[in-house]
Amino acid sequence: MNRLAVELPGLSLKNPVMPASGCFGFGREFAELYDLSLLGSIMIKAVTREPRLGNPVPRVAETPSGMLNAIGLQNPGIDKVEGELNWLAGFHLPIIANVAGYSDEDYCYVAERIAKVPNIGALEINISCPNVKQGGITYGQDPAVAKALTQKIKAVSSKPVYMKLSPNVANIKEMAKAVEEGGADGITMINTLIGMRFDMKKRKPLLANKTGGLSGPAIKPVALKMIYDVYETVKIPIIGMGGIQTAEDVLEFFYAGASAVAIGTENFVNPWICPQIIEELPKVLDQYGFEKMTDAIGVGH
Amino acid sequence: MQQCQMQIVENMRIARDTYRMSLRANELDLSLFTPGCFINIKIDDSAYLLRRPISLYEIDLAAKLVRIIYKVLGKGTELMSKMAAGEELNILGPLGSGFPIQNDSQSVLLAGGGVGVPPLYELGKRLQERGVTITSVLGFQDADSVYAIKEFETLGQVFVSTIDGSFGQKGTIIDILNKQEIEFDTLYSCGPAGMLKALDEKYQGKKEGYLSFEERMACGIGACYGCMVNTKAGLKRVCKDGPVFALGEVSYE
Repeated sequence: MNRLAVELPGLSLKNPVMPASGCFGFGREFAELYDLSLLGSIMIKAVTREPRLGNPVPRVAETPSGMLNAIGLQNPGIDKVEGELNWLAGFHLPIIANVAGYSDEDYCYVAERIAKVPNIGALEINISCPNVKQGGITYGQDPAVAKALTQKIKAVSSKPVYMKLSPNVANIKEMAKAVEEGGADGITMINTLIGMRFDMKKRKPLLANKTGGLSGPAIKPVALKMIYDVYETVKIPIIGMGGIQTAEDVLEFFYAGASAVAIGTENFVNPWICPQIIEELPKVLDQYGFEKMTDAIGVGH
Repeated sequence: MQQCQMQIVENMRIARDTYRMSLRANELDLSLFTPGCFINIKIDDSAYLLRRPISLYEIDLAAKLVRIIYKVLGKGTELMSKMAAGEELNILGPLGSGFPIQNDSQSVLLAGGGVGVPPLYELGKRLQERGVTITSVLGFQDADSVYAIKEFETLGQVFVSTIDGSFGQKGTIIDILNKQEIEFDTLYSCGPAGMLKALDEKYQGKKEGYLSFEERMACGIGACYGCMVNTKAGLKRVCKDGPVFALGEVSYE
């Protein structure tokens, strides 16, 4: 028996650990460091219909136990990303494609096309990027809009659809309920929290985009609380993320209700973090008395 | 690229807010480290999440040491400045492309500004071993921030400028280069963005030359897309595609 295996819609994972979208590019930098086939999955960097240059620099800033980013969805567009996916096929993983857009048509175009790529296991629909002016987070803050988009994407996608929720909402349960009603197969959460820092000497916002998305261990308690709430509200599975640094953190996310997890910012600090956590997980299961990962899902309720 | 613990051998103030640190590199293959590459340093305090990218001032293969010169710019580097010999730092490196060393170069100009001065020293030492004639032009804010002049003088002639004129010539290194006739085939530079732009405009199309850029980074390994620079061939990552770019490569629009 593989103690770490988890089964999610479209994702038969040998372990529940994957790098989070935007923190791993398309894997090329990390493939120089370790065998990517050790991972449960990979959430690739957000893909849009056309190439996007992203925001001006500075794009990143450190914050206490965290960081702000305002990359602005820089990506080479769907045409080039299909090539990257071909390369990733060599690692025999079900890949999760993060799909971003600025209109229903954009989202649906990319979703329909990328779902057809054989090694895509599922789609993660980015309705929560705080760093682009149109689309992104506007879809992620209105339950009716999110539900309608989920329905449209479900209608065109041949693969399971996970909606990535933003924490920048008054009521996360309403958002989760809306995407479930729209037919989502799962939820990924949380995206970053909107924040700011200032350059003390220049007396101006530090990031060129003025605001950025806060990530890292600073947001871990927020992620756990929101996953806890959403787990009690919906029946579809949750892939949890937000400041995970250790195998014990992974188990804590399972306690809150996650069925798998993504590692984001920590990849920037320790590029080997994903395989290290995967190696540690059996020991942590032993330590807290679980036979297998799936036994820990939602035990904190 | 490797990750390891490195022991601090020396950490001393050499100018205002500026420190030189020697780190013992027993576990690292220093032959992979080239002048112009950098290391990413983790401060052992969970509040300071990200690593600090810092260039190498000296790579001492025989003694198995690397030396860095860093400026205290925030709380993280302030903590570093208070560390004592015997303490350890977690290092990731080497990162980034170094300065290409031209085989046919007879004479080089090393143009450094502020915290951009250090990587030019290791480069200069390697060029000196090749018998290349070296002229250094180094710019600082004021007399209190000047450092490493004696070391650069071992490589060849050195011109120094300070913005307020309290040491060397008053003004920037560009002022020196406009006044002084210096013979060289190849330019190597590291320093503030404005200085690199001025050098690029002055020498592109006329000289061989390489500029090392700086940008706010999160990962240092090419994954986060935080440290982009606009080039004539599109956006590039300072950490992975650079930090060294050839004259004429970067677009300043």
